[in-house]
Amino acid sequence: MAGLLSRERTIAGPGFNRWLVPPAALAIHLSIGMAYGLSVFWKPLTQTIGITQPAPEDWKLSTVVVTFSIAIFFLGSSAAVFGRWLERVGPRKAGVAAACCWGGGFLLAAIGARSHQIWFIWLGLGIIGGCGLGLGYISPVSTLIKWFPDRRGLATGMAIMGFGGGAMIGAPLGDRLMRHFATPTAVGVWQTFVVLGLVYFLAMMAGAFGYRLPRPGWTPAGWTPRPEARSMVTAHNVHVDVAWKTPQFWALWGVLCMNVSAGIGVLSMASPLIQEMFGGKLIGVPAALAQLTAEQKLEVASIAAGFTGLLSLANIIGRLGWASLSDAIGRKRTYMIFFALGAVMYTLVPTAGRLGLLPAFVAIFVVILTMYGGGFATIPAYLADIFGTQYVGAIHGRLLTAWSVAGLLGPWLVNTIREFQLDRGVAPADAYNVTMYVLAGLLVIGFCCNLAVRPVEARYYLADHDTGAGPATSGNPRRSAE
Amino acid sequence: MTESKRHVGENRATGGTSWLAVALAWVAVGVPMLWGVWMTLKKAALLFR
Repeated sequence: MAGLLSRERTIAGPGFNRWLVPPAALAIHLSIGMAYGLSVFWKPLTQTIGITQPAPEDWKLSTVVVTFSIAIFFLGSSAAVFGRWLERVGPRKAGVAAACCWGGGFLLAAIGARSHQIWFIWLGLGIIGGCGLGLGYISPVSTLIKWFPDRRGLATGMAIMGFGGGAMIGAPLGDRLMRHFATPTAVGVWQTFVVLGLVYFLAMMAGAFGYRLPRPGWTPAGWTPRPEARSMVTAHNVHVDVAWKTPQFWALWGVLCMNVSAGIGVLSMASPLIQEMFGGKLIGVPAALAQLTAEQKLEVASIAAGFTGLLSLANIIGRLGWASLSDAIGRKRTYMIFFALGAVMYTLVPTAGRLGLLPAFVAIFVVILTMYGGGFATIPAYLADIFGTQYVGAIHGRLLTAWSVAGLLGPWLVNTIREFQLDRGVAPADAYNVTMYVLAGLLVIGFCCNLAVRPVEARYYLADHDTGAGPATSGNPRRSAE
Repeated sequence: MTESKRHVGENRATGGTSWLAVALAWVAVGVPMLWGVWMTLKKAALLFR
């Protein structure tokens, strides 16, 4: 088994079709993307004893929701810590480890839900599952970049799109499974965890065993690298332990952190934002949200859920679309567009809300969320352009700490400013205006960070004999059957 | 089995991938994704009702 997982055993044979690698990566990313859909379990988990409504012994919502924060924290941490290990052992072993952590995490959570032990849930879905998220997230990145040197953005966009799309599959599936397993004496959560754990384990194992690495020196048929002097794309490699000491790494860290902070801030408040800004207008009633009846509020909430779903879709489309576009226009220009266009979009939100222009309001947020997703999907290719492909997986892992910081910063900023506005007597419909200007400010900072990204100085490059597409076997460069 | 024989076996197993295998792999991940997109669009349609 150990040999089967080794890096050497994943080297592709002659004639291997590189288009088999993206679906393998997608199988893993679609599985771990369920992290965004875990919210579907929170309410049922607060009723495992009371069944129809929370009993006094049931967990509080805040107790179970913290699982998500733990998972995201361990996602960033494990990606940073295990990135180098991944580069050494190869993507298959990392993918199998991710499958064991994520699938096994669900099984541990099932024990927790069955025995009403919250620690099992935190350990399973939070800590162990979070490590599975980190390992799974970075596992295909450098492999895809090596297979698609001509379309790095498209390749990583295809995989990372899956992380955005996982919740679209997992959340409704989880909901259906819980309804299937629910009885008058059980909410059906632990059984759902068992089924999902097994399904995700199998899907991720299939993905991990689908990974193949190209032979050293392999290039796609008919492709020649662009002359380095005329582009931001290096043909050299920077070691992961050196990369994070360069100003370029921290400029890119700032780029990711600012882009994610703004986007995740919006995502975290999307539902209350549209409800409070438009209130009754969403259902054709000219009244503020507070003046609606309970039934009307439910109707408004379901429309807001639709808005959140639409944003998820925009997030996914942006991951593939912007990352692919970056292959044509360059990474730096792509992020310039994100930050410049994004800042304009955020400043237009209060006006669209004040004028009651729902289609314009929705369109603005759709564009913003495409750029949020695009930022995630384009960053691995940006890193490969600047630091080379050899250690890009490990460097990407360390850069994901920016995501962890942004995950705290964005929602904290949005909630703090909103609360401050409300405390000062600002109407709920106007409580987000200042927030939007602050988020636009974050994007201006991101714009400056992106401006600072330049090619790495030659002294940071690895010596030629240390570089290459991979450390595995020697052999003649092969061309793929495209 | 020696290391070299193992490599030959692996190469034979992965060499000359057919487009049918590629299509099947994409269908395996594409169908659940399309189902997820469909479910999301159904929910989002409420916004424009």
